[in-house]
Amino acid sequence: MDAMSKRKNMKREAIEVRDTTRNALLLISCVALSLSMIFAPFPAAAESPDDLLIIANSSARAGSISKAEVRELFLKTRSSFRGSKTIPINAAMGSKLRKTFVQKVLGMSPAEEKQYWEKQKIMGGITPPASFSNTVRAVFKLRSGLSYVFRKDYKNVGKILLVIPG
Amino acid sequence: MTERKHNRIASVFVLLALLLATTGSRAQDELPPTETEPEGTSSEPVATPEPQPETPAAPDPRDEKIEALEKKLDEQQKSFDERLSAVEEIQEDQLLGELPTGFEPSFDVYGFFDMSFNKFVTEEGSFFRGVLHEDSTFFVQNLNLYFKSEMTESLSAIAELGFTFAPTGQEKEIEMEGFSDFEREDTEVVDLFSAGKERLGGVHIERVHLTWRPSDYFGVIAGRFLTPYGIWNIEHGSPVLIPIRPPFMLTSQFIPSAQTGFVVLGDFHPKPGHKIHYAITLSNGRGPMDEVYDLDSNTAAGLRLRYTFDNPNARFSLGGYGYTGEYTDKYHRIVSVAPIGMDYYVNEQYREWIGSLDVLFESHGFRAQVEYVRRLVTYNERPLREMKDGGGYPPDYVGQGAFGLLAYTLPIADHLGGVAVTPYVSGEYTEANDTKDQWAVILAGGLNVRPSPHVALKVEYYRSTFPEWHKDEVEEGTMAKEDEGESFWGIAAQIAVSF
Repeated sequence: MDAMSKRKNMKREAIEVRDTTRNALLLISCVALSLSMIFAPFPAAAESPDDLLIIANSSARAGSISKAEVRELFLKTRSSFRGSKTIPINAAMGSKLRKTFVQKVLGMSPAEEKQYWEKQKIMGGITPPASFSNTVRAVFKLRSGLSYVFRKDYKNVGKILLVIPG
Repeated sequence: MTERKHNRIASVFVLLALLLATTGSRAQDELPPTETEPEGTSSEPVATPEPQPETPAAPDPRDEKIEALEKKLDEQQKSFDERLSAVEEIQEDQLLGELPTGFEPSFDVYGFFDMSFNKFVTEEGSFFRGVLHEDSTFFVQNLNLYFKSEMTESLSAIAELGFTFAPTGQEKEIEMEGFSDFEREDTEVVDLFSAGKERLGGVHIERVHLTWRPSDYFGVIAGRFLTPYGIWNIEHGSPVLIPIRPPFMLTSQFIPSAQTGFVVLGDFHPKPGHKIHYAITLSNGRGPMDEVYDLDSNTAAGLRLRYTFDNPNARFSLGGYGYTGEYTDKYHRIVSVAPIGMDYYVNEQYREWIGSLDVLFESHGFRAQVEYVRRLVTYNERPLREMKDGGGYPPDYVGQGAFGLLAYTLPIADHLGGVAVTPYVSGEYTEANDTKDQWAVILAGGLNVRPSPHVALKVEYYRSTFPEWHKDEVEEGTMAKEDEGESFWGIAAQIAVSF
């Protein structure tokens, strides 16, 4: 009887130790999960069809570009990028794509963009980048072309240099 | 048993969550760089209602017809879209076919003009009452035409011509009893065929130059160019300027607004959003005919440096321009008659050292702009000039001027259909010559309204004060007491149009 109860006690203790260990592991896992959610680079690739993709010709040497550099190229305050002449290509004036780009990258309203180019024209005869309705095709055709497109309209033509979330 | 099972299930969920989190992070690493974090609006699956058991109904023949029509319409729409897309692609191919390197030679003609109104008001007893026309008047001040050609990707030329009605109507001589008679500039001519009368105006070449810019870092301008100093002199077109009246230091040409010669220029981008611009100017400098001829062999030199920080939220720039050049006025004179001999007589020659600073800050519709110019003139050859105490030679002198502008574009454009409304205030201090008490303070305030990017409507109140200009003369009795006026004010309005 003593042996039986001793064995039962030992078994109970073993179960308690196992449960305690499991609980401790569970706690550690929860903490680790919380920390990973806090410090992980979020969001976890939440792609949206309205993301704005900055695209270049596949032959472009650069693998990425910053928003500030895109802004400089499209405002023509610089003409080359990573040592190569770059031709910015705008979407058609008045299109949703152009409006989105002007607002998110240039930080202007369409009226402010027009005003900016009026000023550049009078100051130094600088004209805005050429506009095309199909920016993907334009980038596909022009080796030094740089343009933008919504993710939903991107057809794996050209190289994506930057994603601006929609 | 149940507790253990629960613990096991919980452990599995936690491990799965960890695994998913890690996978998500790894997947994102493989994506192109993302500029900003998205707002994380994950779309929740929408619960669809349970399908209700359908009650069998007799098919309506009209529904079938509608369905067939809709199908036909869809097909037609699809066909139309395809054709439209094909036409667009052909058009673009044609355009791009002409642009194998993305460049198309171009030639553009455009310009701007303005129509203004002005009314000076002088105070009782002011010296200016006899100097300024106090009549309300309309006038066309600027009509500038641009001719811009881009010949190659790195080669371009621009000509900016300013058309003016001047010198029509200008007073050439002021009447002074016993000394001179009044004379007005009359430019009227008669057409020989129609006998119609026309008043001739004038054309001045604001700039005309060739630009070769093989890279951002280096370029050359050759011709007559706008001096790269300050902010106003570079913006210079009435449709893009906020106020109406240019600063006095600009109209007085403390720095020549344009020069004839060369500019070597370029930009460096140490970091995205940061730019350092340089320009080295080599020119005839200032002279009585510097547009076409330098009357001395001393080439004027200048250096422009400007740092700009620019991002969608704010723009800041700090610039400076230093210049030195020699002004020489010389003319032919006959020194012997038989045999005839001629030489040059240097009437006036001075060297000038000029420094200027400019600061611009723009953010969310707010604009602050400050410009300062200081000029030192040292004579090599002093001209004999009539002065208040008889005649004499002018001493070396210092001139300086500062101009400041504060403007704010009200955030109401969206409510006004895109019309930008910008109230502004400006102030300037000018001391043309520190040896002559020639200084002035001009304060102004106004409203600039842009109903379209091509049109600016402005109205401005200004007050000009010349505190001590006549005091000495008045005290010396060389001027009448009633001429002791020191200031005047006025109202101006302008419509500026770019086309």
